[in-house]
Amino acid sequence: MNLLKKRGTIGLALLVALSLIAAACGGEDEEETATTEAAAVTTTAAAPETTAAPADDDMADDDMADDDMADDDMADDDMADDDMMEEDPDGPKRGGDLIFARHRDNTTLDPGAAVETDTIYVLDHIFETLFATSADGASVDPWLASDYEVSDDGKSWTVTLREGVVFSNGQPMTSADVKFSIQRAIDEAAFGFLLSAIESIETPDDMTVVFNTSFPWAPFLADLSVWAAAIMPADYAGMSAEEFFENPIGTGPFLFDEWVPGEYIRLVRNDNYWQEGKPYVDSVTWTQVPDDNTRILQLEGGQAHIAQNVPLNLLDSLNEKEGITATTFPATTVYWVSFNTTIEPFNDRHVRRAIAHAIDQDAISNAALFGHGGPACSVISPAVPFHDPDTPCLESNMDLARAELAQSSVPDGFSAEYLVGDQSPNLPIVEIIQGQLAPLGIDISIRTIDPGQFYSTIFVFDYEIAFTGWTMDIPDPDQKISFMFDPELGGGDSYSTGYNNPEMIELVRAGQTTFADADRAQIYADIQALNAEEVPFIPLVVLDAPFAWSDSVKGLWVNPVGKRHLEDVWLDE
Amino acid sequence: MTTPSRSESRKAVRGRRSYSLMIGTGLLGVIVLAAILAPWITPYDPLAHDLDTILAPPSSDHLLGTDHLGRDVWTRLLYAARLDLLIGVGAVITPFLTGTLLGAVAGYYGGRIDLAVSAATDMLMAFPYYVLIIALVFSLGPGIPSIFIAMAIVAWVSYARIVRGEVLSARGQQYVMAAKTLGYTDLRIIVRHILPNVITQPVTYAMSDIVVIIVGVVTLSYLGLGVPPPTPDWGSMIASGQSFMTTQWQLSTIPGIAVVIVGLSFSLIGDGLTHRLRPE
Repeated sequence: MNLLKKRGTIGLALLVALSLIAAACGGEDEEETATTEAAAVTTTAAAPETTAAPADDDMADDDMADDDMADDDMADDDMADDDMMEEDPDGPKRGGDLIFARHRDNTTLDPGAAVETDTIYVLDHIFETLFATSADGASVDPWLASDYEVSDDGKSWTVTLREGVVFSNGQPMTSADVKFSIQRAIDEAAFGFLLSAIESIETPDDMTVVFNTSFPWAPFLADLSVWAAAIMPADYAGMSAEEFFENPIGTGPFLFDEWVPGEYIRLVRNDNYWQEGKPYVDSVTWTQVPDDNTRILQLEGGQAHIAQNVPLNLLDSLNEKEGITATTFPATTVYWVSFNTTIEPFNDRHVRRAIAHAIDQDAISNAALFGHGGPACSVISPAVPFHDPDTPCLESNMDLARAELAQSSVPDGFSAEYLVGDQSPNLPIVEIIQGQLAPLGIDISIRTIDPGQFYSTIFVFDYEIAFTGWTMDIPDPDQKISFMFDPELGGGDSYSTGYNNPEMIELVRAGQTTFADADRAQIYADIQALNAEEVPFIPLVVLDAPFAWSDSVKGLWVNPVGKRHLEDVWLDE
Repeated sequence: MTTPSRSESRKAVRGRRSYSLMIGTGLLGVIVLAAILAPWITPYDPLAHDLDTILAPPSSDHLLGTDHLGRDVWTRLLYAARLDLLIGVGAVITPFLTGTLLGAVAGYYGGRIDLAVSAATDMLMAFPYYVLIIALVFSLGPGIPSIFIAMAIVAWVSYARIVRGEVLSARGQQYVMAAKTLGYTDLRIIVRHILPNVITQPVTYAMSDIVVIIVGVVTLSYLGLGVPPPTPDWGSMIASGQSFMTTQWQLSTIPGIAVVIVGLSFSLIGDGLTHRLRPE
C-alpha cells in the first residue's frame, strides 16, 4: 500500500528527472560539436571587427541599415557583400549550424495558417514577400519586387519583379507565381483580410504584376510585406497543398529540412538563393526550450548560439558574462489589458475606465521590465508610424478610479478572472495589477494557462479579462488597428473583445483609404484617443525584444517588427 | 473490558522511547508555532506589494530578502506554512474517515460489499497517484477546493486497504466472537471493538500521507494548478522564484527547504508512532 503510493511518487520524480535530463541534453550531438568548436574559437581568439558585428552595444541594426538595407537597390549591396567575402579574410565565414533556442515551437509550415510570431519568424526564412520591412521598421523596401508604380487614382499598383529570383527547386519566379500566391492568401490565409481590397490581379508579362484594388488602399505595400503574402510556386509546383507544405518550396535563404515537433525545426542553406553569397551558415536549427533558465544555461554551455525571450531581470547580469552579448532590440511590442466586452460588467465603459485609472503603468514598468521597456499610453507603440505621443490617456489616480466605479453598474466592486499566458514577463505584471485593483473592491483571481493554448482560449471568448498584446508584422498600423477595432473586416471580433463601436470602425476604414500622411496621422491619433477614452484595451507597457547570443555569432540583427534575417548571420568558430 | 489489547499495548509501549518521534514532534511544533504566531513574528503583510524594494537581498529589514513584487519572503514563508499545513492535515481527514469506514465495512461483512470496495480500490490504484490528482484538479479548475475534492476521491483507497486487511484478521479473533455472542450490533462491534484495535495502522499511515499531500499541493501550485496567486504557498513561491534562480537563489530554495523540513518531521513522527505502537 504504502509502497505502492511511494512508487507513484518515485515514478513522478523519475519522470520529472528524466524530462529535465532530456531537456538539458536536447541535441546532444550539437553539444559536442559546439563545445569543440567553441574551444577552437578561444585558441584563435582575436575576433575581427566587421561592420556587421553586433558586439557593439549600439546594436547591429544601425550598422546594418547602412550596410544592407537602406538602399532599395539590393544588387549593389550584394556586390559589396561578395567583395567583402573575397577580399577580406576576416569577413563573413561560411558554414556551421546556427542553433537558435526559443520558448515555443512552430505550429505549421504554411504561411497561410500561421498566426504566432515564432512560427512566422521561421517561415520568413523559407518564403519571402514582394516587399519587406526596412531596417528601421518605419517603411517597406522592395524585396522580391524591384520597383512599383501606383496609378493616380490610387487603385492600381504595377509591381516589377526582381530579376534572377529562383525558387529553391531551381524554377524562376514569375508573375504567374505571384498571382497564384497572393490569390491564395486572399482566399485562404488567416490574415488574408489585409489583401481583401484587391479586386483583380493581372500579369501583362512574366516580370510585371498589376494589382487592382476596389478602392484606394493606403497600406497596400505594407500589406504585401505580411508573411501571409509569401510567394510560392504556382499550383504548388504541381503538388497538392498538403504535399507542398510537408516540404515547402520558396525563394528564401533556407530550405526546410526536418521538424521534430516539440524539439526542433531545422532549415538548410538554399544554394539557389538570389542574394549571392548568402546565407553564410549551412543550417539553422530552432530548438524549443520552454524553460527560461535552461535556455540561458544552454547558451552559456555552448549548446545554443542565440537565445530569445531572455528574462528581462537576467539580461544585464548575462551581458557581463565573458563571451555573451545580452541586450534588447527595439521592438513594436505593446502589452495591454483586454476585456471580454460581451459580458457584464466589462460592457460598461465606466468599469473599464475605473480599472484604467487604478492601474499605474510606471510602477509596472519599473518593477517588471527592469529598465528594458517603458510605460505605454497608446495602443500603437512609439516605434510604429502614426504613433501619437500626445494620446490623452487616463491618469493613474485612485480617486478618479473610485469616482468612475461609483458611476458604474458595480459601484462596490466585483470579482473577475484574469487569464494570462504563462511566460515571462506576463505573470508579475498581472500580479501587480491584481494588487492595484484590490483597493477598488475588484477581486482578481489569476488563471494561468499554457502559452500554446492562450489564443485558442480567448478566440472562443472563454475569459473575462486577458493579458494580450501585439507585435507588429508590417510597418503600418492598419493590420493591428483593424484587427483590434473592426470586428468584421479585421476578422477577429476586435481581437476577441467583442468591442463594436461604429465611430471607431469608421475611423479604421478611413485610415485605410486615406493616402496623405498628415491626414492618416490625424485619423490614427483619433483612434488612439478614442481607445484611451473607451479603453476596450488598456495599454500597459511597451517592450523591447530581449536576445542573448554567444560571441561566435556575427551579424545578428532584428528589426522592430521582429524579422531576424538570419541569411546575414555567420559563425566565427 | 472486551478489548484486552488496549491495555496490553499500553503496557507494552511504556518505557519504550522513540527519538524520531521526539525530534519529529519538536520540529513540527516549532513550525506550527511559527505559523500560528506569524502576525506577531513579522510586521509585514504577505500580500502587500512594495514595488520600490523588489528583489532586495537578505537584510535586517527583510530577513530573507524580498521577492519580485517587493513582498517580504520570510513573511510569505510563514503564512505559506499556515496554508500548506492546513491543507495537508485537512485534506487527509476526509480520505482517512471514508477509507477507514469503507475498509472496516468491507473487511467485516466481506461478500459483495468487500468485492465492490476492493474493485474500487484496485481501479483507483491502477492509475499513478499524481497523474490522477493532476488530471482531477485540472478538470475541476485550479484552487484549494479542487485539491480537497481530488484528494478525497483518490486518497481514501490506501486507508481502505489497510483497514480492510486489519479488520479481516480481527474478525476471527476471540473478542469479536465474544461481542457477537453477546448480541451487540454490528455497528457497535465495528466502532467500539474492532476499530480501536486497528486504528494505529491508518493513523501512522496518515502521517506519511500528510507529507505526500503537502508535496502534492506544492507540486500543483508549482504547475499553476494549486493555490492561486497572490496567496502565499511554498509551491507558487518556488515557481515564481525560478526565473531569478541565477541571481536570487534564495527565492526558490528556501521554500523548497521548508517543504523538506516539514516532510522530514512528519516522516519522523510516523516512524516514531510505528515504533511505539507496534505490539511486541
